[in-house]
Amino acid sequence: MRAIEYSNPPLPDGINVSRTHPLLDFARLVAALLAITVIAVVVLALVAERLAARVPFEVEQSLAAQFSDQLPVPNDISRYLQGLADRLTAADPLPPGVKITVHFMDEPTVNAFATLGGHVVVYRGLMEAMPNENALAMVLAHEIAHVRLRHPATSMGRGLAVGLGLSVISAGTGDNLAAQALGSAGLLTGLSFSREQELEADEAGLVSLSALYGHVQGADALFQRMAELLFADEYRVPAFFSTHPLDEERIYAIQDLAERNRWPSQGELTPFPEAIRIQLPAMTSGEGEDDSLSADGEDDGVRDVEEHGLVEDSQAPDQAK
Amino acid sequence: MMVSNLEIVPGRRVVKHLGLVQGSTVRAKNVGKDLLASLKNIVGGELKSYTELLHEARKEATERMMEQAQAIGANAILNVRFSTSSITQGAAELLAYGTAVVLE
Amino acid sequence: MLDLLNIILFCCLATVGYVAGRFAEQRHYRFIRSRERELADVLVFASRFPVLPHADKQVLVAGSVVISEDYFKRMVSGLQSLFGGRLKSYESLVDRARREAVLRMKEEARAQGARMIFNVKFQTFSIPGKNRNSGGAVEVLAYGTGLVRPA
Repeated sequence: MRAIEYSNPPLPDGINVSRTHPLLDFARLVAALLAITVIAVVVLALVAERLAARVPFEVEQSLAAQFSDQLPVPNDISRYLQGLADRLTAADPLPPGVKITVHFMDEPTVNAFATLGGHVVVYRGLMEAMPNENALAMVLAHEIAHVRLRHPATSMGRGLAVGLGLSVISAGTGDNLAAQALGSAGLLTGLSFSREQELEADEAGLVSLSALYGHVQGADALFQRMAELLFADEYRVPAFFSTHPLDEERIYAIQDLAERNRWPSQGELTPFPEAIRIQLPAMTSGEGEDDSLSADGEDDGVRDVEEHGLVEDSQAPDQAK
Repeated sequence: MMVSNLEIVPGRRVVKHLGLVQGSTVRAKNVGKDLLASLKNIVGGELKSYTELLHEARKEATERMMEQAQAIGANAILNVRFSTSSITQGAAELLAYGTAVVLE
Repeated sequence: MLDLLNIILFCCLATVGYVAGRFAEQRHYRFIRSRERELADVLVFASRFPVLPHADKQVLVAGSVVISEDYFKRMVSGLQSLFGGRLKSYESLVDRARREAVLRMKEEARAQGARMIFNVKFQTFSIPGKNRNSGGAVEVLAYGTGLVRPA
């Protein structure tokens, strides 16, 4: 019988092990994960926005009732602001059932915002920075426009959906730290309006402003003042800018819109009422002495620009174009 | 390449024993299949997606084992055994090993 | 702030895991290859019925090793489990462990005077970590019967 040969020839190395470099492998996985995350976030955001806009305003109001105790109590200034807001909504009516409630926050922050349930908050700092009532009315009109266009609801819906989606994806990876990192990235989208929403609110705000005053110089005055503030103190950028980016595009968009609708961009500027100026001494004096205005400085409706050509020349220096 | 679980091949003689050859693969399960499987946990029954997964893994492990056998000049693998074990959460290793031989 | 710290910690662990793990792996493979050359005269087979002319003494020999995962491998396996498919980072881990276990078994056989080992079998275990972020190791046991030719 021939002897059976027993031997162990050496085996080649790479059969049970993959030759791909681990970092390359990792990079491919991360790229695939990012792609899926981005797609999921975009889709979720779109769906959430569509759905949130359908939520009835009453639901928003009941949600807002939960934080209503954190809002400041009404006072003279907030009543004045509410009056101004009511005049704006009288000139440019809101959809039925939608109500605007304006609150005044006595803090030096230069900001104003709109949130769920039609609540608009204006800070003292912003009021003190406004040159005249028209600019303030533009701010209010802008925030009212956010409410009119249901931006607080859609923005919150989008933030929730994105955060939820990212949590689900991160839970699947089975790694605690990665899960936390992804989860917090979802919350960062937060309750901030997109640029598109800001521009839409600008447009709708201009419509209201023009309906009330007959001209849109208030908007110009507002952005002028904001630009001045920005250049005056580079280190302390007003909070307004973090949520309302100011740039050329926005100003041009407004001017373009005014031209297309043939709204006069010059007109009478209304100073703040005496009573309010007393309460907020840091406010600018606003318009110069204009005798033709009534005692409380309120505007009486649409005026013809040509009639008041003289008014423009006697404006306060900080209104220089 | 003959792959067999038997020790001997009836009717044929082994000329050379060439030693141990192994093929292994580590596979991760899919999170999508995972969700379906957890649903299946409620009703019971065969988890077809996992069955298919392990089937694929077994095929690949066997192929790698045959590749090793071919590299050392064998024409059959006898006494093949499988071993499955779970490595870390969500991944399983499937090992196939046997003796590579040259049949006359 | 806490999230930023978490992210930084995560990146540090992953980098250390990758660098140290890769270094340890290369070094281990070099060690394995040199010992495989040296122990090439101890033969291993999976067959159960050796046909040999001599009546040899039989000894049960075994070799085992426990190799731990590094953080980078665990993270990659977490990502891969989203998509499924081959887990390449672990293949080298179990391959190393298996070859090391066989080498240790051969060393034990040589110490006992055996030149051939038959009926080699493998057992692979996974030792889970305390929680999802730590621990985690793979143990491989290789055992067989060594034949010692009487002197």
